[in-house]
Amino acid sequence: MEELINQLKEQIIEALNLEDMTPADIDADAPLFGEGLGLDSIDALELIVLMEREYGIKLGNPAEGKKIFSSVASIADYVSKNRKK
Amino acid sequence: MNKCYIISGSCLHDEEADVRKYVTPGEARRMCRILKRAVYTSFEALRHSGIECPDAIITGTAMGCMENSEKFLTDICRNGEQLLKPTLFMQSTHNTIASMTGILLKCHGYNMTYSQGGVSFTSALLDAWLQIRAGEINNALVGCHDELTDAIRKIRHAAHPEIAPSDFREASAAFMLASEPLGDKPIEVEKVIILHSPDPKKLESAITSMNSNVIFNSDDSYCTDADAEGICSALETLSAQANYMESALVVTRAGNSVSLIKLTLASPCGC
Repeated sequence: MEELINQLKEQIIEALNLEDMTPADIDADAPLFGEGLGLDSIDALELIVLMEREYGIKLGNPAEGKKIFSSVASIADYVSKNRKK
Repeated sequence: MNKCYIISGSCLHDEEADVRKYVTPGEARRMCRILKRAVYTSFEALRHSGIECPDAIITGTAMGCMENSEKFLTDICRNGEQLLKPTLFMQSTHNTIASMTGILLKCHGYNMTYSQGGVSFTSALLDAWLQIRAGEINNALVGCHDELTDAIRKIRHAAHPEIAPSDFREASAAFMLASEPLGDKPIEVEKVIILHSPDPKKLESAITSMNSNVIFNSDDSYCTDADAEGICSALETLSAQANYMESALVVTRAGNSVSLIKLTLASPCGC
């Protein structure tokens, strides 16, 4: 799981162009939206594309997405259980 | 009829913009190169004008955010129209530049983008000039932004084999126009004319009738925004040689179109 969390951090930094940030700067349990990284709705769309492109996961339910994207750790948990590639 | 003055300006040529001077890293992270240059020149022009929020934002761009457009179209082809990045979609429209500037400035005024090839900037300038002279607005941020990608350089080289791909220039410029002059050497935009497929005699006559001390000829074969680049050169010359010349005419040839912009040194009182 630790390896997947680090991989996700790197992918998020690249996809969202989080300049000057390293995986070590992201707390896996910190909120991604609002507080923490302070991501916005466009970032949410980018994360949905990232999930499908990298792990073959299609997210259709917005309510589900809110829970999955609450932190890097929650994304890693969902990916580990639902990944298609 | 009001007069229209250029009260400040900022130009960049083939260089990166230090956009973090004006926006936070969070605001800058999604900006592509052309947006950073546009924001930098716009904020520089605003800072020098002393105006925080303009009445209007009017932008000229021939090709818009070309780099992002190429990436977006490439993704469409490679990914079978799936998994497209929303940021690239948002930033591949021509009016992204003016709207992004408006959002950052919280400017809810008139926001317009002109895409008219090599006379895009002159078209934007003409809009601002008409509105200021008519008293519709008191000031306007007028910009001109384009970028060259490797693919565009190759296409331009095919059209102009005499110019090496690396010799094509890209320009980004922003000016504050206002109905009130600023500084001790104010420059008035006296005339703005765009001629399409002009008869050579009619063009010569139009240039002669402008009665200018000096003529700046520019050609969009070399530079993406030659009309704006011509204005930058004319402003510098007029400011530096205010004791010797009173007016300058910028003549830009862009395909079948020719734009004429006459700048005149005015008195500081605007009278």
